[in-house]
Amino acid sequence: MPGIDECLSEALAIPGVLGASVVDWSSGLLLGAVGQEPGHGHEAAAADTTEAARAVVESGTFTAKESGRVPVEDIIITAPGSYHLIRFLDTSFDSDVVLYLWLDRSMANLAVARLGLQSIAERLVLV
Amino acid sequence: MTGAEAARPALAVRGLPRRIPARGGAQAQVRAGVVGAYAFTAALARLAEARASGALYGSAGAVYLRDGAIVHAESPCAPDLGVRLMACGLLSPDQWREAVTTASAERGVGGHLVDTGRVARGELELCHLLALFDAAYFTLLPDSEPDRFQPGATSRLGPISRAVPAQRVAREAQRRRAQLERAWPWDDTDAGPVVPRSEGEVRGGRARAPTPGQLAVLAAADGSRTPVQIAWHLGRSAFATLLDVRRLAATGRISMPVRAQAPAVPAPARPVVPPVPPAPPAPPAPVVPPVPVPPPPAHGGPQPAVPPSSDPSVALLLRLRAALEAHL
Repeated sequence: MPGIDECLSEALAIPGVLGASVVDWSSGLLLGAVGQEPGHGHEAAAADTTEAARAVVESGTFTAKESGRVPVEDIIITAPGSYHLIRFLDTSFDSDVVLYLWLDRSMANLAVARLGLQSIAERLVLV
Repeated sequence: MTGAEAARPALAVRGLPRRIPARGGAQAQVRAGVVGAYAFTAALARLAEARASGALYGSAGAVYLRDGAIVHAESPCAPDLGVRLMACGLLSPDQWREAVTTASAERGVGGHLVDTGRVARGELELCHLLALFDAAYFTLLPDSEPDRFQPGATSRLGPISRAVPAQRVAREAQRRRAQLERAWPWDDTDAGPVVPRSEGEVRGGRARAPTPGQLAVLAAADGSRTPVQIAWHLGRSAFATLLDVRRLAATGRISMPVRAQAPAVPAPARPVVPPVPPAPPAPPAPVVPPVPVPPPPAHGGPQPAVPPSSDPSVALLLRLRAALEAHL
């Protein structure tokens, strides 16, 4: 049963991953990070991840007809040289936590990365 | 012991927070030179620098250190690990009580819960870290003062998540104060009852939709619960609830409290020793915090000159300004 650090180590093993972090998107708090720091560092990335998560969850469009405490599964951003994956965690207790993955597009496979991240997100909350 | 007691014996036993005695008491060295704003934060920084181990008690909570890093924090304002795990139904009060009473010193309550298969290690670490930063936000409020440092004291929960550098916790508390200020620069909604407004009163059809968390806050707002009481009721972060309430205020989804004309000096300047709340009937433990949140009065930023008004057009203009600032 993995803890936060083990999950982040596993995320680093996903092909093409440059960096990974765990972020509380209700506050923007960085809960853990590994690998390279994107842009202006892990904490700045946590703040940006928070803004992206909020924008999607608070939109009337992307969560239309969705219900439940976590109305979104992933946010995927593709850029010419990179992929950014944000995975919402479904914890038993009340929280707003996401896993964030930054990948090198020339090395990564988007589908593989998404499935890998999903598996880590599930095991993080698995008894 | 009841579920509610099980949830917060440490605070009840140690009687936190308390009024500190006049300056110059036995613990004067803890406070020496650090009275005034950010006194607790300054005392914490000194202990961290000295790589101290033990518990620093203050007027709004306590922080536990190991070799100068923070391993645990608790505050009467912030729902703790037990409350959060019980509120969602993951643990019954009996299971939490059993974990607290039978856990060995080495494994601690966290280790016991993981070993018995009740809570996933990842979830436990996340919940503990979130509760730590939540409690630290209140404990490190600008006007909270250090009471005493007890060397060697450890949390009754035992080791759970990785220790966090004290500097990082202080920086996060500061970031959170700025975040509240940005969301809605008035603290009127922090301490008073949250009163939702009917959908028809909410203006601006293109306003952002409430998040699931904000909807839960609105659903729990019965017109008498304060944000901190809502946080305890839902077993969610008290800071996130404060922030959600301010955002709801900015979008006009809750009523602004009418300013009390009464005492110029805020009545309970500081929360006093909370009595242990009566036993809740059943899980999810509806633990009601005994103290209202001490409103953060001394923000780093400039205080707004104009208080929220009961005049709807003025209130609309204020919301408009807050929304514009939020998009700058």
